[in-house]
Amino acid sequence: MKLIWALIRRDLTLATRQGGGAGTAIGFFVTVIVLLPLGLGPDQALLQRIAPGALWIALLLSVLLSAERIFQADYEDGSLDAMALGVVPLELVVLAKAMAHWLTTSLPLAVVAPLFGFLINLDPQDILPLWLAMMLGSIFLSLLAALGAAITVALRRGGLLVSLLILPFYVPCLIFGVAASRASELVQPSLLILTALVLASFVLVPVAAAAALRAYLK
Amino acid sequence: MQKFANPARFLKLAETLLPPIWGVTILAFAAGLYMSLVTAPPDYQQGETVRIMFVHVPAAWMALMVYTSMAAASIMAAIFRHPLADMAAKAAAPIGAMFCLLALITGSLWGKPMWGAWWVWDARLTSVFVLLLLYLGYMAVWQAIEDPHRAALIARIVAIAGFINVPIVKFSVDWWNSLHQGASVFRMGGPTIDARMLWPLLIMALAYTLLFVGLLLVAMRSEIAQRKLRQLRLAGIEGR
Amino acid sequence: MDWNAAHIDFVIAAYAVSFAGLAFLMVFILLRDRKLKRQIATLDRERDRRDG
Repeated sequence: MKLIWALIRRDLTLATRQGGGAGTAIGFFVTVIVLLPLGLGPDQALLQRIAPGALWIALLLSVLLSAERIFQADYEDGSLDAMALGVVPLELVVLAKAMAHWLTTSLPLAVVAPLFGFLINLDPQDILPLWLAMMLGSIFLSLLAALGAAITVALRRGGLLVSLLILPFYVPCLIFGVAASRASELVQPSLLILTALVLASFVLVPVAAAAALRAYLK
Repeated sequence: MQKFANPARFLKLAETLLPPIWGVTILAFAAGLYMSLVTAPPDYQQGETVRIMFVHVPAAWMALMVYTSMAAASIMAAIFRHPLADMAAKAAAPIGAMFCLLALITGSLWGKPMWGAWWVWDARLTSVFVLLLLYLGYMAVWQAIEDPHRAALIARIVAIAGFINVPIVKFSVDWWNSLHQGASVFRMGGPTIDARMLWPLLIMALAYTLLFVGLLLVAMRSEIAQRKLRQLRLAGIEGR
Repeated sequence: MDWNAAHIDFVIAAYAVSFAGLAFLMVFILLRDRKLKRQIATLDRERDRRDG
């Protein structure tokens, strides 16, 4: 357990020292949200109707944009080989790195997303459900991003492949996430399904991603 | 099972199986086309448009079936290290992708006159579209990774992980209210479809299945040939 | 089959697209198989000539 904390702390330190991590993702997020009314026209009623979906799509794309970095540096400088040989199972290493990605990229996005909702006339009633759903859903997004990053870690043009492989899995998260964000009540079926997705990915993603990494490390 | 692990034996088996398979495939397509275009009655609600069902439904069934067999082959490859299993999954992918594409196109052609739209974003259509993306992603993995052994390992993970989508496609019409009609053949309590429509549907499904089996055998033969070619070329480079 | 029914063009299009797609797939797979077979035969012949 201590070693896992050490791994997470290492990634957090790297992210803060290098900057970039959360900064790039938030920058991209803001750009999408700002471009949206420019493309659709400043119709307040229309913007209010699409606001939760637009925020979710912006979140999804920003997470996808930063997915590639999760394992790349560690693969290239050989740290990943060391981690694979270490006492911590590779599955837990994956989980730790996914959580570090969540803490540095997805969670900050989910936290600030409702603030940018004001830019596109988000209904104040939707703020709390949207916030809750995004906090939960962002865990799923980070885990899936880690899977995509593991599958393409040694490929030079992995970016396109990541989007092709991971977008299908993002679809249920988007559907239930948006449904949970337009709630009259806070806890409801869509949110429960989203929780189920998070829990399932928590177990399955580390196994699959570790298998993929082992294939590359051989 | 291990008996067929030997490529030479597999090639021999394919050689003997292929001619009868092609023969029966042609017969099944001829019979299926005749039945679906001539003997099947028009629907009292949909009129002649219902005949699109006889090409749409088998294609959709096959899209699911092929992905299921890809996932099964990948699991076999992972557990039993069966050397042909990875090749089977790789060879099946383009065939399944074509079935999936045809299911989407014919569904679109059916949806326009019946629902008034080429495409609606409901659960069934969306999940089948996701299935097509999964097929393309799986094929892209084989394309992107040069070393065939490594590609096989990664492709297995993609095929098995993507299998989650198959039950979603199957039950999407039950779980969400959908424009798409529910299952009428494979359901508890027997089919709710008239026998004069059921038979052409089943014959067409048989024809599609046989076509898949035939094409799969040929494509697997190509995979074996390609692997041999790679070895010959490598040996040729070393020999010089 | 009533050839003058409403939407009959959609039915024809669906059958045409299906069989065109399947035919394309078949031609593609069979041609690839034949091409690979020919390449292997050429390589085998070259090797035989070189070796003796």
